[in-house]
Parts: sequence; structure tokens; C-alpha cells
Amino acid sequence: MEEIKKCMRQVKTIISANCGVIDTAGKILAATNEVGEDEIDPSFRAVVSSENLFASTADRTYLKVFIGEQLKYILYIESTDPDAKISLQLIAEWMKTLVKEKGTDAEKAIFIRNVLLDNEIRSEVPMIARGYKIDCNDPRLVLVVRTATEQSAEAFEILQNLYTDSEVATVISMDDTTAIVIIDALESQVSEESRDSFIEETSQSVLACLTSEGCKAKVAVGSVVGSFMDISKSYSDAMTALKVSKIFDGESDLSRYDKLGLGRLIYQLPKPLCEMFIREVFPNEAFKQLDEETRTTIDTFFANDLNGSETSRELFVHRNTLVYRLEKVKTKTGLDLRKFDDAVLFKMATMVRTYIDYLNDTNDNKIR
Amino acid sequence: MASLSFQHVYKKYEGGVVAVSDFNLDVADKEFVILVGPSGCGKSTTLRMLAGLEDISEGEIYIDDRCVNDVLPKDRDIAMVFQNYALYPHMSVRDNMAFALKLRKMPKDEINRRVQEAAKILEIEHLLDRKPKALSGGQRQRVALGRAIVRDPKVFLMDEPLSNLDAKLRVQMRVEITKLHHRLKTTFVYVTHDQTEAMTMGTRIVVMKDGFIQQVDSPTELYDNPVNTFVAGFIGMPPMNFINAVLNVEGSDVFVSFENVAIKLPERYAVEEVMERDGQEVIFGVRPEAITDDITYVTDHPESAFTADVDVVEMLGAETYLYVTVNGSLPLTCRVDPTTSQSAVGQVVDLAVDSNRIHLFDKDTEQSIIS
Repeated sequence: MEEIKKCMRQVKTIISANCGVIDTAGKILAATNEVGEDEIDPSFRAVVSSENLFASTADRTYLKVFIGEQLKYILYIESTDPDAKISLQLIAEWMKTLVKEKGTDAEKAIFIRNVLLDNEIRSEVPMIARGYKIDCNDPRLVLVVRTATEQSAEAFEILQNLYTDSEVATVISMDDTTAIVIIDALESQVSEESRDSFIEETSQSVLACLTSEGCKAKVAVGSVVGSFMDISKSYSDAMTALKVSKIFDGESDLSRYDKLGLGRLIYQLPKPLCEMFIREVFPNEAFKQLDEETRTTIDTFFANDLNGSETSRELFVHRNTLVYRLEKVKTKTGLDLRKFDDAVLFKMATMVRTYIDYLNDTNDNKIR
Repeated sequence: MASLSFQHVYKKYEGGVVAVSDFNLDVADKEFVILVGPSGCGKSTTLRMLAGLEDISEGEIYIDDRCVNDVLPKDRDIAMVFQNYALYPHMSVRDNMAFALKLRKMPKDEINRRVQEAAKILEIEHLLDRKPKALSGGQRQRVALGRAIVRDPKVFLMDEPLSNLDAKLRVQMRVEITKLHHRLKTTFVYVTHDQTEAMTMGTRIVVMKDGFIQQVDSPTELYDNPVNTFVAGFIGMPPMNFINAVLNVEGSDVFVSFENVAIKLPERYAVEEVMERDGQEVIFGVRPEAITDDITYVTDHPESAFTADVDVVEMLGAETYLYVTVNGSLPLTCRVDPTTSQSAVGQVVDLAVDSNRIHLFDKDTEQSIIS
């Protein structure tokens, strides 16, 4: 549909007479002057029932457009000059090419999706990729964009527009909540030294683009892979980033596989080991004895790099109040959070606790 | 241009966390309202609910008398500028600004007109063909503003838009955004955790804490008449000094006493809600600039004078901060005039409180005792 409208917009710049495209139900799909779009063409039935390829009314010439054996569209031009038929034939050929390209695009998307999911035979990928004019040798990066189901079509359209006519990225729809942005030609877009900031900028811009258009999205960034053949790894890493970020940093809308930190390590630990660690650090369920206020205090203390003055300022409490609360933590857990080693232990233990909670809440623990 | 109304708005997350509670606010057309508060106070969530990026758990939000609870974000006629102004790196400035309009299939001529107009307002016409990587931080922020301006929205929503800029640029862009508001004559809702931004830009400020509105007022009113200790402590730098004190009534005179110091309060404090607290503990609030070491003032006001040990002196050019201790245990911060101050570290200095600029708060509720 979009291709047909685009075609008509281009026709408008070449042919002065008004032209349009009608579907097989008689509805005007697109017109160069945009008049009568979505309305039924009054002469449609007569044109279809005519045995000829061309038909004319007092002010219009029509041409039936077949793709294969099937009547797909009817073109019209608001002219009955002899040249009108030539114009219609040219537009018809143009449209057929566009429709064919559209079909090719869909096939290409299926192919890329299969490569992402590792469903293509690896040795055959380069050959098929060549057929779709995909350069296999350039480094790639996969971004997974997750939206709510009701916003996924809109998000996909926005992303397609963001990278339309550009050779820097490919956008495909993965399922009803996930779109994929593959950043192509990384080598020509950015030098190796600036790659990190480029990735940050690009992923932030994808997120900002969707948010500013009213789409609530989460963007996960995979790792850079050396060629198109390996995009499944980048995709898988991005999916891991999405998952790990959801467990340890639920509020974050952007996650990067190469910036998962402790979360990545903890995510790989088996549940029994996690439970043993928790029993060791928080004996007698000491963590549960900390109230909400104390937990907020600890979070703020960590967020301020164990800086007491900054923490008390941010919490709007006197420094002595902060010291009192930290002493209370020490009494209950045996950990003095002002000491680096104890602070690290506490931080890791709280993350491991979060991970155990996640495992208990999902079926993952059955799989592991 | 639009008016806004929040009516009993709540945001509750799964697991029982309440990010915003009973938020009620009316914003007039063309007003510049600032939501301010510490991290996690619910200000961004409130903005995102207005934008449609977060569902509203309870209550209603109106834009121009139209309830927008179920209106899609793209149909709310708003534009957002974020902390991370992330421009599209593969597009020129022109295309960055035009993107949202192209998405709406706006005619090319109209897109060009709007982009040119916004670029002129922001003085970035000469940058239109550059790519973002060729722009400075300030220029990038202008382009981000331009992307919002071209939409010609009813309401501008800004979520910490200056947080990523360095201090100098932040001051500059603060002025630019204020000018932009005057020029566009549109409703602005601006979120920040920075009280200086709030005080300098907003026509009205909404102070939030733990999801609740604490006070909605003009910058001057917030500063002069904070309703509770939170607002009093949040607004103003250095923050207000809070002193645990006792109220004493002697005849028609009211005193606050702390650390062997008794300060006589002005006559306006001789009212029932104060007098009835005779002998009770209160929180005595005094801003640093309401304490002076000016010898003339101290001599003329013996009823509010006391002595303190000077711990630290910070000379900042136009003003000097004194960090003092009263009676060896009560720390106070004073902002004094460097042209008259003689105070030095290690000295015992005579200080006096301007008792017309003091605040009294209830010890338990932390609410202001008299308004």
C-alpha cells in the first residue's frame, strides 16, 4: 500500500495529468492529486467487465494490471489522449517492479530472522545473503526493541522510518512485541576507538525516538560481531541483556550486554550456590530484618559511593542519623557498610537475593 | 497552548509500590510549572503519565478539559525533551528536526517551513546540514529542543533536560529555555531535581516527596513560607538550619530557647497557635542568610544575639559562609557579607538572628506552625 502511494507521489512529479490506482474491489488506493482516495470509482464495474486491457470513459483512460494471471490493480489517468495509454503502461511496469521488490523485502526479512535465530545452515548463509545484496563481511550489532503488543506495529513503523533510505541499519519485526535493529556497516560508520560512544548514542537515539513518539519501549544491545554470519550471537546477547536488566535493574529502559557488570556473573550461578552464599552472608535471614527505610538508606549510601555527607544530604537526614542507621545494619547483619569489603559483600548478597527471587518467580528454576 | 488538570492521580506498581499519591494540580494555559524533588519522589512518573508513557492507576488527567486517560500518547499533542537528548546520529540536524513531521506525513513545504522557523528561534540555522557528531553539547541540546518545537505542541514536557550538560552550559541553557517559554507562549511542565533550576525558571513550583505533593507555590513563597521542614530544607542553598528548641511564653513575649540561647520572637508570633505551645519542643528554622555577624546589627539586636565558635570560613567572593558551633554541639551555617565580616577560624564570634525571617515547625508533624 505504502509502495503504491509512493509510486503515485513520484508519478505526480513526471506526469501532469492526474493518475490513480484502484484495487479489485473498486476502491481508489492512491491518486496523484489525492482526490477520491478510499472512495469507490464510479466506472470500476464497467472497466472490470470489459474484455479489453484498456477502457475509456469521457475523461479517463483505464488499464488493468495483472500480476501473474491475477488482476491486481486498475490504473487510471484523467486523459483520453493517445499518449495516455503509453503513460499507463509505463506506470504499470513501475508498479509491478515495486510490488516485486516488496515481495523480495519480505523474503529478505524472513531470511534475516532465520539467521538471527540460527535457523539457517551456516554454510549457505553467505550465498543467500549475496542474493539479497547483504555484505556478510562487515561487523554488525543487534538491538532488540521490546514494546507492548498494542504498540508494536507503531514502533516498527517508527523504526523503519528512522532508518528508511539509509544503509546504516536494517529493521525487521521479530514477533508481536519485538523489533530488531541491525546496525550494519559498523566499520564505515565509526572508528574502533569511538565505537563504544557510537553504540551508546545509537541505542539511546532509538529509545528516545520511540519514547518521543509515545511508545514505551525497552532497548537491549548485543555485542559487536565480526560478520553477518554471527548476528545470532549478537541477538542472543541482547536477549540476555534484556533479561538480566529486567532482574537487576527493572526500571532501566536501556541495557547493554557489555555493561551488565555483576548481574552477568550472578545470572550464571546455579541456584544452590546462590542459596548457600545467602545463608553465609545473611544468617538467620538477617536481610529480612531490615526495614524499608534502612534499605533505602543503604541503596542511597551505595549510590553515593559510600559517601556519608552526600548520602545524608540526599536523604535529608542528619549525618548522625545516617551513622545510627548504618550501625543498626551492622548489629543485624554483622556487616559494616562503611568498610569496602563488607559493602561489596552486602551489595553482592542483595543482588543474589534478587536473583533467587526471580528464579522462584519464574519457571527458570525448573530448567536449571 | 493548553491548560492541564490532574485530579486525584495515583500511580501504583505491581507489588504495592505507590510512586504517586493523590496528585492534584491545575496548570493554567502558558504557565511554566516545575516539578521538583529528590530521586524517587514521583516527579518523572507524573510527567510520564501526562505524556501517556505510563498508565494512570487512579484519577484523571485533563488537557484542555479533555480527559486523556485513554488517549494514545501520539494523540495528546505534546512534545517531550529528555535528559538524554539522543539525536539520530546518521541524520543531519535538519532531518533530526523534521523526523517527527515526516512520520506524520506532513507536506514537505510545511516541514521545511517549521524546521526553518524553529532553527531561527534557536539560532541554529547555520547548523542544519551538520551531523550531530559535529555539534557541541549545547548545540545538540538546542536541536533536541528544535525537534520538540517543530511539532507545535499544546504542551512541552521536559524531563531533566539539562542534567547531561556541564555547569556553565546548564546556566546558559536555563536562560535559553526561559526565553523560549516567553517566546512560544505555550504551557511548559518541567521536571528537575535541581532546586536552583526550579527557583530560576518556574512561574510555579510543585515540590514532591515520596509521591506526595508537599507544596505548590511561586518560588518566592516557597522560599519565604515553606509549609514543612522538607520544603524548607530542600529549597535554598546552603539549606536552612534546623534547631531543636523549646518555646517559652513570658507574658506577651515569645522566646525560642536552645543551647543556653534564648531568642525573642517578633510580635506576630504572639498568636494562639504559638502561645498554646508554651514549654513544648519545636523545630526552629533559620536560613543561613538570616544569621549575621555584622557587629552593628548584633549590638542593636541583643534579644536575638548569641555566640558561637567558628569552625570553617568559606569565602566565595560575593558572600562568605561561616560554619559555626553553638555551645560546642550545635552546628550552624551562616551566610554573611564578606565586606563587613571579620570572622576567622578559631574565633568566638557574636552572631544575631534576624527574627523576622525565622520559621517554626511542629516537632512531630514537621509542619509550619504559623503560615
